[in-house]
Amino acid sequence: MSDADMPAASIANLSKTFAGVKALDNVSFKLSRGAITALLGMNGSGKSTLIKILAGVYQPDPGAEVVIAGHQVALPFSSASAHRAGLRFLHQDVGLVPSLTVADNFAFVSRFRGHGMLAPIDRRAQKEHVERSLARFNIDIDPESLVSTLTPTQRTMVGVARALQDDEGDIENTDVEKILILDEPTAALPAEEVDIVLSALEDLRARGGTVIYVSHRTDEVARIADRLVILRDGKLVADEARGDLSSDEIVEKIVGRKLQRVMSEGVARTAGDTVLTATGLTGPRLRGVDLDVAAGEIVGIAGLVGCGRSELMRILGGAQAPSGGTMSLRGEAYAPRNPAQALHRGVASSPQERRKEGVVMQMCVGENLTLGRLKRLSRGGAISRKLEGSTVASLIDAFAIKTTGARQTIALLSGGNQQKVMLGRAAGYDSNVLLLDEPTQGVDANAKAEIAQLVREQALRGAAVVMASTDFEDFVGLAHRVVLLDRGRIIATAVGDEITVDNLSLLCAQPEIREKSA
Amino acid sequence: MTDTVTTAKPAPKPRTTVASLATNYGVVGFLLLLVIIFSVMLPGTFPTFLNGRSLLTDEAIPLVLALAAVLPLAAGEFDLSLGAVLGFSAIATISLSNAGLPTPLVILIALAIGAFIGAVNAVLVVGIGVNAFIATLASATVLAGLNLLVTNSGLLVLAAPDLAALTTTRVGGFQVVLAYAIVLAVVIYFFVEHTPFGRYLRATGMGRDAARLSGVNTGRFLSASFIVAGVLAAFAGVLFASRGGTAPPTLGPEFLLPAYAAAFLGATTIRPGYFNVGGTVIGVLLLAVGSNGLTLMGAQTWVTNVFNGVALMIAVSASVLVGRKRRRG
Repeated sequence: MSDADMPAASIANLSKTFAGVKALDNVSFKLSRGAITALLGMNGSGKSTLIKILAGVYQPDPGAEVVIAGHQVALPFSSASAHRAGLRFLHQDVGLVPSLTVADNFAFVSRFRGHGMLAPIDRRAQKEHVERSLARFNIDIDPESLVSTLTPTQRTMVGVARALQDDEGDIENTDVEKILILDEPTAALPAEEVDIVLSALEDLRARGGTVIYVSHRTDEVARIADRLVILRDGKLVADEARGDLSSDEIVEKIVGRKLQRVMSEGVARTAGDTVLTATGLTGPRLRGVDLDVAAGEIVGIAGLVGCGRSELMRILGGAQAPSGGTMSLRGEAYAPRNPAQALHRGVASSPQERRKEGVVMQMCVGENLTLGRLKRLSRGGAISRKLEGSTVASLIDAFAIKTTGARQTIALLSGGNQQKVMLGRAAGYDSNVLLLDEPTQGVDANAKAEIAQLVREQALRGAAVVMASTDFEDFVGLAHRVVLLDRGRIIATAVGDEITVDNLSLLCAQPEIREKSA
Repeated sequence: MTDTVTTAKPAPKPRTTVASLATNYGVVGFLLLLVIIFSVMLPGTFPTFLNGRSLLTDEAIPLVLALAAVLPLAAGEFDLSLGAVLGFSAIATISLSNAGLPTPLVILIALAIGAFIGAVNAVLVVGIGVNAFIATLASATVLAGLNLLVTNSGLLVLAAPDLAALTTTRVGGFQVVLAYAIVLAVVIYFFVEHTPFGRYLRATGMGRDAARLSGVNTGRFLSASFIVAGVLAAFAGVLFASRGGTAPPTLGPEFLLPAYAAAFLGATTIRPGYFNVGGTVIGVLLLAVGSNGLTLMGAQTWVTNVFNGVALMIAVSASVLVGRKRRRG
């Protein structure tokens, strides 16, 4: 086999089992040198697991074989051995330090340091190196500017340049010898700037670069990919040249069934008066979102990381101020300056980050259940132990929280039960509007079902529920309406029976359908 | 939902084990041990009514300052200006009183100064977002400078006898200053343990984001903790001016560290894992007994300092370990 024919990498028999479940099942494929290979799949298809194995985060099950540039990479795989083998990653969050300059973000490597721990950094050599690296990708940014001043697109480009900076004294071969792996690089970027990133990758390919492009966007894949590797339920379902598959066939392979063009807007809405209305909300990620929720209605907000989902929830809940747009609650202006004001108006939130934003880990279950609600449990300025005790006991009961008692430290509860505490605190005090951000994140299947039932009960009671999730499964059989958020805009709505994992995945993957339905 | 009466099972009592007793009451046990050791070694001087009385009375003002420190600490922030507030307040008290102002007005002005300094700290920390350590260090430095200005770098001596009587009046053989400290400790205990204010203050310290997002106005509680701490420290300054009758221009900073030592010792006992009033009282007593006994044994000043420092090291390490154990279960 000549050097040119040799694949840049070949992966064979890659499996990964988590607690008896195969996240990745015997996957094998080859990467052609000088080509862009798209890695496609839905949530839970195994594509993240695959990337994490390559990055050295997870160890594959025994029997796997990874050959890069003709050399077998020894297992166990580590991030250092991945780097040595020439793999370069750009993760979703890019991983730049905002408070440092672009140049300093390049300099985590030790090459510009003199000998010894305290030797000064060679500033001039570093600057030249950074300028050269940026120029290779036509990035017009001063290396001395702070990363915090860059736009998301610029940060992504700096991340690409940093990932592919040349090794010392080997400028010509860097593009060719490395393999760049990008994980959803455009998910959080404005649509009109995606082209900048895609063009840079096309240029890189023209220089002989090898790229794995992880995405769920068929339009981007159709434009830049030479080869498609599609995973579904941990199995490889396609490894073909891009030209061999039509857009419809790609989506069919991703989702696993034939697609139906059933999406429509504004069909049957549940009865009930509109409670919360948002018009033209904008923010760092949001680019004009209109939303309304009626009493007794469960509205799902679906979308991938970076779509603006959490930002929308924070704005509705008063935790973040919108940069534009208006909100109203039962026809009256609603502009909460903090979550306390939102709560006062009857809008209660269960935030996304359970450990950091949701519960106070060092406090007990009871104290967490009454956080922010003590005013109504106090008599004459002091907390009424009796009132608090009975309220906590009834919440533990009503929300099926498994605990040894109100005094148990909440850190000792399972994730699902902590989530139920958050739900109980938000919903247990007759709030009109419930904002639930990822209420089933990281909880087991049983707790998921319990939480869904609790949310359903809240809607039956008459609460207007807004529930955000990246897991489409959460909405099925629960939400009355799901709006799909992408790059800060609502791009589609699914109502009633249309809410299935497949349909939501289709809406996410295929812009043509969206346009037909919109 | 809230009006449905509970059917939940009563919570089982937390198991009391030797280990849990040791972590909860270790500092108390150490205090008792010290008392016994000093009583055995110094039977003629340590376990006497006179020594006990002077020990307790001398600790009244340090206790008030330690209580002041507990509030911002509970909310998760340091207030390093408290010692300086005590000094400035004492100096202001003597200056104003000597200038002929009536005693009630003098006290009111001193407390207002404390509230103002606390408010400045709150604006810096909560409003602007300056690191509390640095912000309160800056206000402490400003106050130290003002002290030199007001005293003209000389010792102030209190003239008014009615102000002195505020603390030195004896009730049942004890100076009344001790009663002030005890009443304040009880009042602050009530606020910290039994009101929404105390609970939210603690939530602010233990999980600020979670507290804020569940509807607690964390900024307001943090600000309040700085202002109340300032008032308490200023009150400690009034008591100092009244009881001692003099104020050197450099008064203040030497009170800060013992107050923090007591608060941190307190966080390891009674209600381990967080800053609490009962534990802080024990902490003040432990440090006082230690230095009192050592002094009576004829130890030089450096021994007392080493004792205080080592006690603080052990206490803070213990509180970290206890906190870790609580989180892990």
